Amino acid sequence: MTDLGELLETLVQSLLYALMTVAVEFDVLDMEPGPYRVQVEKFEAIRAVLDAIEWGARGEIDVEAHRDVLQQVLADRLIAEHSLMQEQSDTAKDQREHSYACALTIESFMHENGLEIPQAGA
Amino acid sequence: MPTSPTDPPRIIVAPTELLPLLQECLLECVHSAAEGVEQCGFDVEAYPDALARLDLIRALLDATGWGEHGDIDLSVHREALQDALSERLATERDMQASAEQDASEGGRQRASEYIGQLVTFMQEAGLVIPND
Repeated sequence: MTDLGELLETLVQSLLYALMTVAVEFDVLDMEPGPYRVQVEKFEAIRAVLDAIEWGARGEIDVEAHRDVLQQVLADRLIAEHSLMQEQSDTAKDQREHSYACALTIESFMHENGLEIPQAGA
Repeated sequence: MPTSPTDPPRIIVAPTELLPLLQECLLECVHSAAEGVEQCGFDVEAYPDALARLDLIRALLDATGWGEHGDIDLSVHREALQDALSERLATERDMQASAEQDASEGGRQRASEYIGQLVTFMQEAGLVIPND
Protein backbone atom coordinates (compact mmCIF):
# COMPACT_ATOMS: atom_id res chain seq x y z
CA MET A 1 0.00 0.00 0.00
CA THR A 2 1.20 3.49 -0.83
CA ASP A 3 0.70 6.41 1.50
CA LEU A 4 -1.16 9.22 -0.24
CA GLY A 5 -0.07 11.91 2.20
CA GLU A 6 -0.91 15.41 0.98
CA LEU A 7 -2.28 14.05 -2.28
CA LEU A 8 -5.39 12.57 -0.68
CA GLU A 9 -7.65 15.62 -0.92
CA THR A 10 -6.53 16.42 -4.46
CA LEU A 11 -7.05 12.80 -5.48
CA VAL A 12 -10.59 12.70 -4.08
CA GLN A 13 -11.49 15.93 -5.90
CA SER A 14 -9.93 14.64 -9.11
CA LEU A 15 -11.84 11.36 -8.90
CA LEU A 16 -15.13 13.15 -8.22
CA TYR A 17 -14.47 15.41 -11.20
CA ALA A 18 -13.75 12.34 -13.32
CA LEU A 19 -17.02 10.72 -12.17
CA MET A 20 -18.95 13.85 -13.11
CA THR A 21 -17.22 13.98 -16.49
CA VAL A 22 -18.14 10.38 -17.24
CA ALA A 23 -21.72 11.12 -16.13
CA VAL A 24 -21.94 14.12 -18.48
CA GLU A 25 -20.63 12.05 -21.40
CA PHE A 26 -23.82 9.95 -21.30
CA ASP A 27 -25.53 12.96 -22.90
CA VAL A 28 -23.76 12.41 -26.21
CA LEU A 29 -23.87 8.61 -26.39
CA ASP A 30 -25.94 6.70 -28.90
CA MET A 31 -28.77 4.95 -27.10
CA GLU A 32 -27.18 1.53 -27.59
CA PRO A 33 -26.09 -1.06 -25.03
CA GLY A 34 -22.44 -1.14 -26.21
CA PRO A 35 -21.53 2.51 -25.59
CA TYR A 36 -23.56 2.58 -22.39
CA ARG A 37 -21.82 -0.51 -21.10
CA VAL A 38 -18.37 0.97 -21.79
CA GLN A 39 -19.38 4.18 -20.05
CA VAL A 40 -20.73 2.34 -16.99
CA GLU A 41 -17.46 0.38 -16.80
CA LYS A 42 -15.45 3.63 -16.88
CA PHE A 43 -17.66 4.91 -14.14
CA GLU A 44 -17.15 1.82 -12.02
CA ALA A 45 -13.37 1.88 -12.41
CA ILE A 46 -13.27 5.41 -10.98
CA ARG A 47 -15.68 4.48 -8.26
CA ALA A 48 -13.51 1.49 -7.31
CA VAL A 49 -10.66 3.88 -6.53
CA LEU A 50 -12.96 6.04 -4.43
CA ASP A 51 -14.14 2.94 -2.59
CA ALA A 52 -10.52 1.85 -2.05
CA ILE A 53 -9.68 5.13 -0.33
CA GLU A 54 -13.07 5.13 1.40
CA TRP A 55 -14.06 8.34 -0.35
CA GLY A 56 -11.26 10.24 1.35
CA ALA A 57 -11.31 8.58 4.77
CA ARG A 58 -8.32 6.33 4.04
CA GLY A 59 -4.94 7.78 3.15
CA GLU A 60 -3.35 4.86 1.33
CA ILE A 61 -3.91 3.00 -1.91
CA ASP A 62 -2.79 -0.06 -3.83
CA VAL A 63 -1.35 1.75 -6.86
CA GLU A 64 -0.99 -1.41 -8.95
CA ALA A 65 -4.66 -2.31 -8.54
CA HIS A 66 -5.79 1.12 -9.76
CA ARG A 67 -2.88 2.23 -11.95
CA ASP A 68 -4.91 3.06 -15.07
CA VAL A 69 -7.42 5.28 -13.29
CA LEU A 70 -4.73 6.97 -11.21
CA GLN A 71 -2.71 7.66 -14.34
CA GLN A 72 -5.68 9.20 -16.10
CA VAL A 73 -7.12 11.35 -13.32
CA LEU A 74 -3.78 12.60 -12.02
CA ALA A 75 -2.51 13.42 -15.51
CA ASP A 76 -5.73 15.29 -16.27
CA ARG A 77 -5.50 17.18 -13.01
CA LEU A 78 -1.86 18.04 -13.56
CA ILE A 79 -2.62 19.45 -17.00
CA ALA A 80 -5.39 21.55 -15.47
CA GLU A 81 -3.06 22.84 -12.75
CA HIS A 82 -0.37 23.66 -15.30
CA SER A 83 -2.92 25.64 -17.23
CA LEU A 84 -3.99 27.57 -14.11
CA MET A 85 -0.34 28.33 -13.37
CA GLN A 86 -0.14 30.23 -16.67
CA GLU A 87 -2.76 32.73 -15.57
CA GLN A 88 -0.78 35.97 -15.39
CA SER A 89 -3.15 38.47 -13.80
CA ASP A 90 -2.28 39.89 -10.38
CA THR A 91 -5.55 38.64 -8.92
CA ALA A 92 -4.61 35.07 -9.86
CA LYS A 93 -1.49 35.08 -7.68
CA ASP A 94 -3.02 32.90 -4.97
CA GLN A 95 -4.39 30.55 -7.62
CA ARG A 96 -0.95 30.27 -9.25
CA GLU A 97 0.67 29.45 -5.94
CA HIS A 98 -2.01 26.91 -5.07
CA SER A 99 -1.71 25.28 -8.49
CA TYR A 100 2.06 25.18 -8.22
CA ALA A 101 1.90 23.40 -4.86
CA CYS A 102 -0.78 21.04 -6.12
CA ALA A 103 1.18 20.22 -9.27
CA LEU A 104 4.28 19.53 -7.21
CA THR A 105 2.40 17.08 -4.98
CA ILE A 106 0.91 15.30 -7.98
CA GLU A 107 4.22 15.12 -9.85
CA SER A 108 6.02 13.74 -6.78
CA PHE A 109 3.44 11.01 -6.34
CA MET A 110 3.43 10.13 -10.03
CA HIS A 111 7.22 10.03 -10.16
CA GLU A 112 7.52 7.87 -7.02
CA ASN A 113 4.96 5.42 -8.31
CA GLY A 114 6.09 5.08 -11.89
CA LEU A 115 3.20 6.97 -13.42
CA GLU A 116 3.79 8.92 -16.61
CA ILE A 117 3.97 12.65 -16.02
CA PRO A 118 2.46 14.62 -18.91
CA GLN A 119 4.54 17.43 -20.33
CA ALA A 120 3.55 20.95 -19.33
CA GLY A 121 1.36 22.38 -22.08
CA ALA A 122 0.17 18.91 -23.16
CA MET B 1 -44.89 -18.60 2.37
CA PRO B 2 -47.53 -19.96 -0.08
CA THR B 3 -48.58 -17.59 -2.80
CA SER B 4 -52.19 -16.81 -3.54
CA PRO B 5 -53.55 -16.81 -7.10
CA THR B 6 -53.60 -13.00 -7.00
CA ASP B 7 -49.94 -12.64 -6.02
CA PRO B 8 -47.81 -11.05 -8.73
CA PRO B 9 -45.41 -13.45 -10.47
CA ARG B 10 -41.85 -13.83 -9.24
CA ILE B 11 -40.43 -14.16 -12.75
CA ILE B 12 -41.84 -12.07 -15.55
CA VAL B 13 -40.91 -12.55 -19.18
CA ALA B 14 -41.21 -9.47 -21.37
CA PRO B 15 -42.60 -10.40 -24.78
CA THR B 16 -40.18 -10.15 -27.71
CA GLU B 17 -42.01 -7.17 -29.22
CA LEU B 18 -41.51 -5.24 -25.98
CA LEU B 19 -37.75 -5.85 -25.78
CA PRO B 20 -36.63 -2.79 -27.80
CA LEU B 21 -38.79 -0.51 -25.67
CA LEU B 22 -37.67 -2.22 -22.47
CA GLN B 23 -34.03 -1.83 -23.48
CA GLU B 24 -34.57 1.87 -24.17
CA CYS B 25 -36.28 2.30 -20.80
CA LEU B 26 -33.34 0.73 -19.01
CA LEU B 27 -30.73 2.77 -20.89
CA GLU B 28 -32.70 5.96 -20.27
CA CYS B 29 -32.76 5.06 -16.60
CA VAL B 30 -28.96 4.64 -16.59
CA HIS B 31 -28.70 8.07 -18.20
CA SER B 32 -30.98 9.56 -15.61
CA ALA B 33 -29.07 7.85 -12.78
CA ALA B 34 -25.84 9.26 -14.23
CA GLU B 35 -27.39 12.74 -14.19
CA GLY B 36 -28.11 12.16 -10.51
CA VAL B 37 -24.45 11.36 -9.96
CA GLU B 38 -23.38 14.47 -11.85
CA GLN B 39 -25.55 16.60 -9.58
CA CYS B 40 -23.68 15.32 -6.50
CA GLY B 41 -20.75 17.51 -7.51
CA PHE B 42 -17.99 17.54 -4.93
CA ASP B 43 -20.30 16.59 -2.06
CA VAL B 44 -19.12 13.13 -1.05
CA GLU B 45 -22.09 12.68 1.29
CA ALA B 46 -24.52 12.99 -1.62
CA TYR B 47 -23.15 10.05 -3.59
CA PRO B 48 -24.53 6.94 -1.83
CA ASP B 49 -28.16 7.48 -2.94
CA ALA B 50 -27.23 8.36 -6.50
CA LEU B 51 -24.90 5.38 -6.78
CA ALA B 52 -27.46 3.03 -5.25
CA ARG B 53 -29.88 3.94 -8.04
CA LEU B 54 -27.23 3.29 -10.65
CA ASP B 55 -26.40 -0.07 -9.03
CA LEU B 56 -30.03 -1.19 -9.14
CA ILE B 57 -30.46 -0.40 -12.81
CA ARG B 58 -27.04 -1.86 -13.69
CA ALA B 59 -28.02 -5.13 -11.98
CA LEU B 60 -31.24 -5.30 -14.00
CA LEU B 61 -29.37 -4.58 -17.22
CA ASP B 62 -26.88 -7.35 -16.46
CA ALA B 63 -29.73 -9.73 -15.62
CA THR B 64 -31.36 -9.10 -19.00
CA GLY B 65 -28.11 -9.25 -20.99
CA TRP B 66 -28.40 -5.50 -21.46
CA GLY B 67 -31.85 -5.84 -22.94
CA GLU B 68 -31.22 -8.95 -25.04
CA HIS B 69 -33.86 -10.98 -23.24
CA GLY B 70 -36.80 -10.21 -21.03
CA ASP B 71 -36.65 -12.74 -18.18
CA ILE B 72 -36.75 -10.69 -15.00
CA ASP B 73 -36.74 -11.96 -11.45
CA LEU B 74 -39.03 -9.51 -9.71
CA SER B 75 -37.93 -10.60 -6.27
CA VAL B 76 -34.54 -9.04 -7.13
CA HIS B 77 -35.29 -6.36 -9.72
CA ARG B 78 -38.77 -5.05 -8.91
CA GLU B 79 -37.58 -1.63 -7.74
CA ALA B 80 -35.37 -1.03 -10.78
CA LEU B 81 -38.07 -2.18 -13.20
CA GLN B 82 -40.67 -0.02 -11.48
CA ASP B 83 -38.31 2.95 -11.67
CA ALA B 84 -37.41 2.47 -15.35
CA LEU B 85 -40.94 1.82 -16.62
CA SER B 86 -42.56 4.57 -14.53
CA GLU B 87 -40.07 7.09 -15.84
CA ARG B 88 -40.75 6.14 -19.47
CA LEU B 89 -44.50 6.05 -18.89
CA ALA B 90 -44.37 9.61 -17.60
CA THR B 91 -42.34 10.63 -20.66
CA GLU B 92 -44.78 8.99 -23.07
CA ARG B 93 -47.74 10.64 -21.35
CA ASP B 94 -46.03 14.01 -21.79
CA MET B 95 -45.33 13.19 -25.44
CA GLN B 96 -48.94 12.21 -25.94
CA ALA B 97 -50.17 15.46 -24.41
CA SER B 98 -47.86 17.61 -26.53
CA ALA B 99 -48.71 15.63 -29.68
CA GLU B 100 -52.39 16.32 -29.01
CA GLN B 101 -51.64 19.99 -28.51
CA ASP B 102 -49.64 20.11 -31.75
CA ALA B 103 -52.25 18.02 -33.58
CA SER B 104 -49.56 15.49 -34.46
CA GLU B 105 -51.52 12.34 -35.15
CA GLY B 106 -48.39 10.22 -35.74
CA GLY B 107 -46.81 11.33 -32.47
CA ARG B 108 -50.03 10.78 -30.56
CA GLN B 109 -50.46 7.28 -31.97
CA ARG B 110 -46.88 6.31 -31.22
CA ALA B 111 -47.11 7.56 -27.64
CA SER B 112 -50.46 5.79 -27.16
CA GLU B 113 -48.99 2.56 -28.43
CA TYR B 114 -46.02 2.78 -26.05
CA ILE B 115 -48.26 3.70 -23.14
CA GLY B 116 -50.43 0.66 -23.89
CA GLN B 117 -47.40 -1.66 -24.01
CA LEU B 118 -45.94 -0.25 -20.81
CA VAL B 119 -49.18 -0.36 -18.84
CA THR B 120 -49.96 -3.91 -19.96
CA PHE B 121 -46.53 -5.16 -18.97
CA MET B 122 -46.59 -3.29 -15.66
CA GLN B 123 -49.98 -4.80 -14.87
CA GLU B 124 -48.71 -8.29 -15.68
CA ALA B 125 -45.70 -7.74 -13.44
CA GLY B 126 -47.83 -6.41 -10.60
CA LEU B 127 -46.05 -3.04 -10.66
CA VAL B 128 -47.65 0.19 -9.51
CA ILE B 129 -48.96 2.23 -12.41
CA PRO B 130 -48.44 5.88 -11.55
CA ASN B 131 -51.42 8.18 -11.92
CA ASP B 132 -51.70 10.16 -15.11
